[in-house]
Amino acid sequence: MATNVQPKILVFSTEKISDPALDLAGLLKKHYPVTIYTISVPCSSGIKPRWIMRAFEKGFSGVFIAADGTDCSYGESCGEKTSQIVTATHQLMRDKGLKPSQLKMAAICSVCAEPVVKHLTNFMKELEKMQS
Amino acid sequence: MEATLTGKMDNTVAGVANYDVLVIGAGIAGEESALKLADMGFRVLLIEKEPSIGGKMILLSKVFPTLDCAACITTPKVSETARHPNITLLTMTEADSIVKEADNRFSVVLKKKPRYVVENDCTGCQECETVCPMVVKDQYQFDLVARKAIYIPFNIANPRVALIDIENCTLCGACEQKCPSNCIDFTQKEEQINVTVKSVVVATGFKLFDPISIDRYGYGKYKNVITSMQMERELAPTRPFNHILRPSDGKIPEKIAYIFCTGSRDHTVGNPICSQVCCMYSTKQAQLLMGALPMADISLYYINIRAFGKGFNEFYLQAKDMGASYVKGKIASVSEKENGNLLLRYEDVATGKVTESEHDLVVLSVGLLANPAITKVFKNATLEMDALKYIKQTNLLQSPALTSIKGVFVAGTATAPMDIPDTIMSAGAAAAETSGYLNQWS
Repeated sequence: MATNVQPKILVFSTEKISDPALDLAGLLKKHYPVTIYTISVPCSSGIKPRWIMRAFEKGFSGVFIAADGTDCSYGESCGEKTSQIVTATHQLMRDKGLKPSQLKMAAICSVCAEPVVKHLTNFMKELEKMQS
Repeated sequence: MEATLTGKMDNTVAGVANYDVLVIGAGIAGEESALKLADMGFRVLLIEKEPSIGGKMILLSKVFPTLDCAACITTPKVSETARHPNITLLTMTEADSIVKEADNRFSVVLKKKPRYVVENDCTGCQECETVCPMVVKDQYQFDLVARKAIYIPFNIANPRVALIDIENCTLCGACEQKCPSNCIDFTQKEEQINVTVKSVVVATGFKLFDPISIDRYGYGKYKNVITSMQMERELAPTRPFNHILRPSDGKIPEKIAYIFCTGSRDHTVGNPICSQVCCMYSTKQAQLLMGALPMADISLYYINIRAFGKGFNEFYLQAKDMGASYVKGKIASVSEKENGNLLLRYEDVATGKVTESEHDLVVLSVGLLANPAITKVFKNATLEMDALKYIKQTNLLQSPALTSIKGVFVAGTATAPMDIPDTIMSAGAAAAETSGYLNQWS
């Protein structure tokens, strides 16, 4: 169904590493879509699949996990654990008729302002295509 | 006002907290020592006089010779330090006195300066900054831009908590009204904290040379003469302008000069030694500038190139291959033209002629100086210094972390100028020496 409404993306960022990158993107006046909302968590491995599913229920078209990768101060296996959460959530999404590509994850460092904007802008384009 | 610490201490006797180690300074050396010791199971008290941790490295652009992003490496370490269960971190805190007791413990009096913001309540939202009417130079951007009187030092600061620069605050109360978590507290006073520790690691780092004392270079007089640390900020991911601009008119520079050995190898300023890092950080900046400004000419005026570390000479040759122009000759004077450009007068050693060249931006490769204030804190024992006021290493070859006081160890650039890999190694050595000392104790 075609619609003119811009898709909404919920970003889970980590308070010490990827959140400063999103903050920096704003400080450097990088342009990214206005329908991107962020929730800061201590570590991405603590995100629950039901939180992601709730975001979809509440009208978000996409969820982006800005993870820390091996840099995470809570443990080197953070990236691995987060990808397990993504895999488990993909199954739940399929069950609900959602596409796995509506949930993305990438490792973002504290000053990765440009990469995070690129990730989110591309993700938004994909979602727009999906919506049209 | 006297306060006591709660939380990660082994026991409290009459309001005095006990720790295994006091680490003074939370730059990369202090952090590394603290983390290593905390991982071994020792209880560490880490103090930092600045409002956030990470020292000077967190403010750098990239590191040489790998060109890794400095902030990307530092932030996870900073975060790990701040959340480690065996590390108690106190920012804006300095040691006021350290007394060695008869039982070999150290009685320490700490002074914690007020933030005028309740640390536990501040969410780091920066709403206060939007209403603060006072604009002052931002010392974390080395005066290139301004900040407010209430501010968070920089966006990757840890802890991400605001503080009020009370000397520039008009006490208008605008921040107090705006703060959504009511955490502004103008009644805060300096706190005195008493602790007892078994050992001390001194990681107080270095001071940057202030080139204002070299009149002939015109720093502070000519706007387009900046320091290498200011250029570092212009190149950093958290850069203030998001571009390389010269200060006088915001023009993108096309002909940039570096003056090496500013405040190093110079008896006239009292620092006769090589600062170890300036040749390489200038070479790094030249490479980054050639990437950011492909059309710009970069000239580097040097006495000798000291590219002695692993991969350093290759890094220097790479910069030359990229087009950086290295000119052997010490700059005699810098003068300013009406358009803000600068004339450099020097003897070109290759030709033997006194030459002048025009540049639109001059960067002074400033050296490193000792930071000896900590030695005055030890009251009944002498923390000896070397001739240049760095902390004296009493057994440099076999145990480089030992100092003149048993139980006090030294890490990083508190001992001498050194680069980041050497600092990390020195901090590891200090942690190893400290753990050996503490294990003997038990």
